[in-house]
Amino acid sequence: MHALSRLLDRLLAGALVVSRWAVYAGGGAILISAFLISIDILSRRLLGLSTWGADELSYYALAVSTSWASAYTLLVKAHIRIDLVTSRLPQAGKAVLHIIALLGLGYMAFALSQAMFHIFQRSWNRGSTSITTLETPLWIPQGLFVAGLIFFTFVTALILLRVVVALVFERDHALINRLTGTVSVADETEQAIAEAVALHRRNG
Amino acid sequence: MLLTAIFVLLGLLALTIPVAAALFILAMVLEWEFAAAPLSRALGHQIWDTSTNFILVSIPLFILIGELLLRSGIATKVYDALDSWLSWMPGGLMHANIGTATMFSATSGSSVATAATVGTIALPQAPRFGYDERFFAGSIAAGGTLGILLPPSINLIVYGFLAQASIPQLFMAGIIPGLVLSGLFMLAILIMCLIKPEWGGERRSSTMAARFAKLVHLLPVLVLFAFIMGAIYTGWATPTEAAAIGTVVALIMAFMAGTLSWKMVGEALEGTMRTTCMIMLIMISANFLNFILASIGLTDSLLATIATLELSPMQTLFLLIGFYIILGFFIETLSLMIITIPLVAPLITSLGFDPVWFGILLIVLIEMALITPPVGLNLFVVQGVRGRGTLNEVIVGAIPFVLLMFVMVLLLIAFPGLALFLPNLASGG
Repeated sequence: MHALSRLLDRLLAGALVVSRWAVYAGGGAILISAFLISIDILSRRLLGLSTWGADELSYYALAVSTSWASAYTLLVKAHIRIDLVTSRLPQAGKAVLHIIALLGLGYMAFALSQAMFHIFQRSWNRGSTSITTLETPLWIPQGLFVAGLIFFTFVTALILLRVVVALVFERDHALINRLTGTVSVADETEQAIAEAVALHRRNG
Repeated sequence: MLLTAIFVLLGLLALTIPVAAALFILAMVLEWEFAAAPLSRALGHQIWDTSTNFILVSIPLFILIGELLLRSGIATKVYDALDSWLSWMPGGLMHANIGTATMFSATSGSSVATAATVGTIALPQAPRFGYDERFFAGSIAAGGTLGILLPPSINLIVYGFLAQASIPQLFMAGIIPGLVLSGLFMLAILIMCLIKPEWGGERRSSTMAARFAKLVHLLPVLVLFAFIMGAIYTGWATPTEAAAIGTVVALIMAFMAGTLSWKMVGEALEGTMRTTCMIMLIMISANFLNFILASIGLTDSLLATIATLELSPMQTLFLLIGFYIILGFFIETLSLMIITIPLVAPLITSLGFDPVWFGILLIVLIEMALITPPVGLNLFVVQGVRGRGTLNEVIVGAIPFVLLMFVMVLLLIAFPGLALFLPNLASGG
């Protein structure tokens, strides 16, 4: 079992690295979109040029960056869970709830991936393009989008597996909480405060 | 059907399933149980349509503006400037708390971030000048909530998208109530400190020359806000386009403040994507649920059920308000909005209320939830920054502001024009 948990840990560490780069790439795409949209509207309003599709690129950026950020958001526990009723449960009870929550999220991730994969496949087979001036081959943004969803599904399964191993074999509740505990109000505010204080120091 | 839906949803949430997944599973259960023909075939198109909606591109952009401005260090200068303008009044720095929160909420869509930023700057001042710490902390927690009422507001974008109300109109409608509420807060501080001068701390005055010298620090935020709202108001740009230009301007401002760096932009992008992704996944689920609810006729059955109660529209409205106040004690605020809008929005329209007006009313109720225990996030943030005393002191200090928010709700009901005047003016109606 030791080998399995070590393997899972390494996979998770890798997933965190990949997902963090995906978040920077997605955020970068949003930032570039801001510039493209700005240029588009300024040239439209001030120079009288017609739009060329910055809006279209920006909503592809939104979709793809969202799907690729899902795994990261899960790894940093930022998907909202409401744990008011259950925050006083014993450790074992909480661990079971974590597993149920991951199963729920995993089901959603899988169903979204599957549904989107069909859309992607159809666009690919038919060579569909968007009905805009850009005539984007739709399989490109849809393929990137569905790839992010599949990565999300994979990471959810990985965490689920790691939690089950930690619960059944290692009985390590601290580890489970680190992997998937709900972000308590205390953690969340701690983070907001730490950021604000650090900024205050840095900017004096 | 309605009861099944409510019980399944509460069950899923009680199992601590993430809100996005809970809404999604509810939609699948309802479809499987009640749909005459399989609707989940439409799932792929629904996901793609929500994910690639141009108006929703404004969500990451507005979050990014807030992240950039918070990290650019201009909040400290704004606070300093407002301190010199407002601290001569009874209540002193507490007016600067509300003022800074009002200005920052006008550009950042997040209440928690606003409260944390203002709190970090302001809280060390409370013991130094002898303020009543409870009231002082309460003013920061309450001021922070203005973030979701004054445009640009992520909550208003979410509401507009799900309730199919015009987002530019919602932005217009938020301005007057936001300023009125901010004014009510300051008035209350003034009156309380006249009655109980020992709460007020030391009053300081500055020379007019010093004040005008500091006015320049207020300009960046005011200009950015005026540009975004002006562009949307005149129809020069859509909210997303205004947000895009605003993002570029915020980058330039951070550069001029000397705080722009790769590290700073990286942190801002990371924070932006985390929040955007969390919201977008919930939106994808909520929009799919919306579609299922309408398809299986649950929306109609809810309206029929309400009709059998034979309540007047006003009674129904107050019932809803009570319902939101109670739920607001327990459920995280953005989730509360998204979970309830698919059912409440059609109800409100069928009762003959204006959906834009109701959006503003709903936001004030949500603001109240942010500063009522046990899950009032802003209370925890302020207490955390304070790092001394007890949470109870912050809760007590926030009570006057909670009451004022309730007054604001009543004002909005008595004078719908508070919200609807500007949007009507803009549309020429």
